[in-house]
Amino acid sequence: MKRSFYIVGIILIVILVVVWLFLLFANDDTKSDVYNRFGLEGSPEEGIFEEVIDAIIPDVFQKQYLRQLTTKRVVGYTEVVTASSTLVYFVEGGTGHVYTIDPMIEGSETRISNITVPVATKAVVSTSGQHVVVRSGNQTEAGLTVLTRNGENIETYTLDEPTRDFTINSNNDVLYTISMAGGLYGKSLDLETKTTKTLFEIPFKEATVVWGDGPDDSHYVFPKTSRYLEGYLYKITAGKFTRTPISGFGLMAQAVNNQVIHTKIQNNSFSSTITDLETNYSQPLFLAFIPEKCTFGVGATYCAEGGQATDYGFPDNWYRGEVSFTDSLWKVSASDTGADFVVNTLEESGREIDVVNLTAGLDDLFLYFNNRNDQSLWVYEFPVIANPTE
Amino acid sequence: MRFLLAFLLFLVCPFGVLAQIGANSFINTDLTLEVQPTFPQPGEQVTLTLNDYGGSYYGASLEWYSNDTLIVGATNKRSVIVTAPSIGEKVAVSVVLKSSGGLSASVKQIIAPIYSDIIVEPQTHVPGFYKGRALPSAGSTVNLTALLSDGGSLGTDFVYTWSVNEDMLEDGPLRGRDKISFVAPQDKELFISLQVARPSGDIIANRSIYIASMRPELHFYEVNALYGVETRAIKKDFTMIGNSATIKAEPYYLDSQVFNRPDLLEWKINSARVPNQSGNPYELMLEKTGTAGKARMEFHVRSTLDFLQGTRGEFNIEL
Repeated sequence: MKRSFYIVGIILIVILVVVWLFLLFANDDTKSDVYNRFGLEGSPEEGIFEEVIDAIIPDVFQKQYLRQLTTKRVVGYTEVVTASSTLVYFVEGGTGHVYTIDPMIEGSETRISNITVPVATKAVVSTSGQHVVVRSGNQTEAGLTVLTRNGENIETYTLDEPTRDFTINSNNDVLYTISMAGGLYGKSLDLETKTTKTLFEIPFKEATVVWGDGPDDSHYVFPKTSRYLEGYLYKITAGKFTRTPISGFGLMAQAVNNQVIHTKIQNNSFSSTITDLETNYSQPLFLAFIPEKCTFGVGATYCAEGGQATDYGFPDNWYRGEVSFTDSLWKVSASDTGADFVVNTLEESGREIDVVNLTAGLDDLFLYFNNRNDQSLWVYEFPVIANPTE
Repeated sequence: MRFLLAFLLFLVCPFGVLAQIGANSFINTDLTLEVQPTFPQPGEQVTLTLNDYGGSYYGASLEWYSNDTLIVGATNKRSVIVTAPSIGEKVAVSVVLKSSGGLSASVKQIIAPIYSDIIVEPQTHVPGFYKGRALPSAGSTVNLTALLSDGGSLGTDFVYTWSVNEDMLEDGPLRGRDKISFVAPQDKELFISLQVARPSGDIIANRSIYIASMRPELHFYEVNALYGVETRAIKKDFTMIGNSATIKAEPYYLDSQVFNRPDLLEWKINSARVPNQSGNPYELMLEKTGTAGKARMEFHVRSTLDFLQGTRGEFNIEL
């Protein structure tokens, strides 16, 4: 019994050794990268090896049209286009330091001002990049620091008036609001002469101002938004305060010249309309866009949308920082109800992006925006579509 | 005699309604045009209804005109719906009655809409970064502003009658008081109405709105020494990453006076009251001194005079 057991054992060991030697030497050593074929049909060249290569190459070299420009918190930015370059000037949150970055070149960030404005929470940059206006702190009213590039030097100027809201227009005038008894003054600061003048009066304090860009442009005003309160849109031209036909609960608006995109609650949910106040032509939109997440480009209006209209606490809970949205970008036409889908930011970047401060670059080549979740700056580059006739 | 008749007609007809007398007609003061809403806003749908209380025109044919143009499809209807014109424009709606006996009469109503907006500005607390409007809460002060516009020179000398939940503010009409304040009553909804008249007594606008009254609600935020207040609210749990953190409590919609001078304001950690060393009573600085663990943070602010003016909240902190 013992003997036969040893004989069977030895035979099994011999068989295993022979199989091992066969596998070791009889295989084609030119295909040493293929570890297993798992019974795939066809020649080895059509196997997994080829398929893996096909899957990897496009991922490595595919152009990313949606890109994160900064990891820094950005509290204000503008695109500055010259004959030789397109740069984004941006202001870092907390420090007020000013940087430039080429939206096409990763890591091209350059600091151009190291003057610290502590707890910088909001900034605007002039279209030339020469002037930067920064506000410090989270108070409702605060003074402003103006940084002006003069050759290699940075000059600073402090506007001591307790401003509520501010911007800088294409004429390099700082436009801002301050409190007065029972309302607000809209004022301008000429950065050349450092003189201020009153542009208009608003007969209430809790106002959102949509600033016009040119010195003669109209400004728009509406009471700050709450879904529980009615709002009315007013237009201010040359200091004259007039009521527009636009009103409603939860009213929000964004405007340029006579084009107004406005959203309000109708039948318990938000709906959006684009109105031309000159012709009184109104076009309802099929999606409810939040005007705060919209910008006017050269040929279209661009908006970010992430299902805000169906949130029953919006926008109050969004303003409180209780909820966040993951937006897609849309191109909205004023001539029909439709909107063209541009990009789903989550699918494209893998990040949850709550778009704020959306702007369109020159000729609508780029869309820039902040992610409200971390205040990082992003760019979406529109793909250049080759002319099929060429 | 004609002046006397016209005067009698003025006394009998409601404001703004003119009865025009046809050649073969007799004076009928029972014809009126009822307008709903009485003071329409521009672009609003307005319903005009003919009332013939005397019944003198029983069986008469009716033709409706808008600025002397026949309104198609409205013939022989008792009421017609028209759209109020844009601001600064007027539309004259008239109805002509012709009885089988040859009598005729017409009644005209001029619609000249006025925007009468009521801006609501509750004097309750919201943080500086909050972009929305504050909301009223029971016991809080609310400011109201009336803004009238007819697209032209409407004037500014008016008498305002304000009421909240049908209680007239300051007990009567107030000349020149386009702004007024009141203390929000303990109702979930506040019904605000405004009537504006010229000093002569002619009413030019009437407006009513509902506004919601909220309970004060508390949210917590982390304060960063470099960046200021983080605008994302802390939810149920907060993880303390460094050795210290500053937390700010923001009692939304708490009356501003209570926010500035609260009778009761306290922070608690695991139910034990903690003294606040910070200059701002709404901020608490936390330092990690021991080993890792969890703690429950609580905050409570309240007026002892008005118990509804207060709020409390809590969250878990992981050290």
